[in-house]
Amino acid sequence: MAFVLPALSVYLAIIAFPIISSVGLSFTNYNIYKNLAIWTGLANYIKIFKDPVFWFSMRNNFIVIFVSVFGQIPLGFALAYFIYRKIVKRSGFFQAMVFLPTVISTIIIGILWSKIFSPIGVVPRIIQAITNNPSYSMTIMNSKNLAMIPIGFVLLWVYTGTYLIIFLANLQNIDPNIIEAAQIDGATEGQIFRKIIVPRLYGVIVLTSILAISGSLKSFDLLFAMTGGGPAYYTNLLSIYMYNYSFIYYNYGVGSAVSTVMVILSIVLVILIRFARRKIDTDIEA
Amino acid sequence: MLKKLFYLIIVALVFVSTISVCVFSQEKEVELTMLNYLDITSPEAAAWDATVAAFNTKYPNITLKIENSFSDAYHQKLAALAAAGDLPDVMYLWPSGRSAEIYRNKLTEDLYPFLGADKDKFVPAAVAPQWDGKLYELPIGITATHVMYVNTKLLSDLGLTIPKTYDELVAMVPKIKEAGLYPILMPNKASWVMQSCLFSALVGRICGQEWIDKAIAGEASFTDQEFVDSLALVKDMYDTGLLPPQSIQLEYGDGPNLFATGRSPFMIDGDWRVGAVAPLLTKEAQENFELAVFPDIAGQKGESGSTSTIVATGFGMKAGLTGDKADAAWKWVSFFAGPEASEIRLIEQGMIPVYIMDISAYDIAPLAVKRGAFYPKHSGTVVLDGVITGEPINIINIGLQELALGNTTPEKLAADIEAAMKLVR
Repeated sequence: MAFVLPALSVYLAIIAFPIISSVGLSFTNYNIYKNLAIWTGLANYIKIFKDPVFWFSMRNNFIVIFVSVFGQIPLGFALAYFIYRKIVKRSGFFQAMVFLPTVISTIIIGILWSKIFSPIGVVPRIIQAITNNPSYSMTIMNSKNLAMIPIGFVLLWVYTGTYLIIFLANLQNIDPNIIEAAQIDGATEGQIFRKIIVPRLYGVIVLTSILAISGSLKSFDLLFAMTGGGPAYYTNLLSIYMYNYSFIYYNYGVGSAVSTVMVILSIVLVILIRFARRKIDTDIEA
Repeated sequence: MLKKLFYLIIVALVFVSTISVCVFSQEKEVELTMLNYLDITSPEAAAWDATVAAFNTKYPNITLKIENSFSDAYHQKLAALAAAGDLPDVMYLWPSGRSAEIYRNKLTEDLYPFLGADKDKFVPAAVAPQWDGKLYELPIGITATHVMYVNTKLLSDLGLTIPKTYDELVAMVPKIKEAGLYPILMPNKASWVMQSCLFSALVGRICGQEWIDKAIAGEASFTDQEFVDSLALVKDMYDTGLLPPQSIQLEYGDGPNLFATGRSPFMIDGDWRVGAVAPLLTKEAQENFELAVFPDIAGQKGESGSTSTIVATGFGMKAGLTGDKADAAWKWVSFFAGPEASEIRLIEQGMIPVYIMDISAYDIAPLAVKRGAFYPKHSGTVVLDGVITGEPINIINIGLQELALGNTTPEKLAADIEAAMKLVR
């Protein structure tokens, strides 16, 4: 216990205490300028649950989760598999290219892509040139329902490389003799993938899913730099919604309530994934 | 012997008086902590450095311990320092808006007692009460948040003249679009731009200042027809193509370049944009640009030619400072808004001071001269984010974007604003 104490103290001070105090603040109308908090019960939670912008932000968060879990992970897995099985030539080059965005600051990426999608940016100019229509303007970002599509594309571009590296590292741990044996036995590439590769990477898939979900829920910097949540609130995420309440309106009570909801949501989703994994494991064993 | 004694007394007297002068005339060393609002990579940084150097020369006994911050980081830092009870001695403040919480909690000092008779040395509007009858920051200028910049050469090339009415402006749209130009350039990806640089002026024009005062006080409702008409006009500007839909995706910083390179005959922005547009144009080219305001609107209750104005930012001092510290803090606050610093900003940035001084002798950009001539021609109404803060102003900012994108109606948005205002009144 004595050996654990220093690390435990640091953990309690910088992780546990802020979370607990944030939950506490969510039940108050804390005024930072007076350093005064008055108990307001569930008022902050009622306020956000009644706000359509909160639900729209949550919807956008689920889109980000969807893109991460069903976009970045399968794509990263597939690319890693292609490179591992040497299905493409110059695999080192592709590996570097896909991984490259990961090493660039997300703020820089956000600014870069906002410039690319800007009405005076590269993408509209290319479309203008292709369609021979100089007055073409890209209005997808102005659509309440479609504004997240360009964001989804950027999310794929940025983070797929991370999953590629994770999957590639784990693929390289698989004994090549097993695959060789399967090939000698006449297994097709599809069978090798389904029957050998995927079952061995279940744990990694679950781990990356947890990483993707928690990363998506706390996602902030890329969207904030790229759109700031706009136009209106069409690309708002819960984290941007929380930021606005905490640091623009200085309503820390509501901001803390949003962060508490985000923590609960994160825990629920991780439990669901673990449950799904257990179910899959049981099915395989059966 | 007597002669020797006489010389000795003289020498002693000179010595004593020299020592006395040295001891008593030396002002006490004071260190002043300061939180300044500055992007140190911006062109404004040169004027700031020159201002600090001039202050150091004038007051060598005051040491400025400066911390620079910018944008939201500045406000968060100030809020955190306030929460910790550790505000700096002097800090950069807004007349209301984002500094409202500082004033509401009485964290800064009223400057009127320090200003005294020097109040007459400033333009009266600049030293009008800012919050609760007090002056919490000494502003460095007056800002017109709405200016309609006109490229008169481009306009005349199209066979058009500066419009006098809104209908005339709308009638120009087909011709301007035919030339492949934006009818009006107003990059408003950032949600505050529409509210601050156009809508506030429209409300002042259509509803009149008297109505705004009543609405803020709760004696009139934001669902009143005149306010709904103001919102409807914004929607109409998008519907008629005056403001193209892509303007809502243009970065605020894109405006000056696009305007200076002739992409539109009109640009709507704040007067501060003179500082960004002028360097992009030669002195001769600047003669082809004018500073105007939005044309008259049928049925307007406000004054013709009015714009939205607000006193600019400036420095304020922490509440409770006393003695040498208070004296040094006031020296900085008054120096920053006073003649020396105003002269630096005038020369470096073309910024027209509110400290009353003759600016005709200075060699400044023609567009800056036009900026100086702009203020006496146009009466002022309030900027909405100067009188409305917190969530209600966000509902206005976001709502105006939704209105532009066709996802709300003027009536619904007006009702939402009124509901939010009821909670804070």
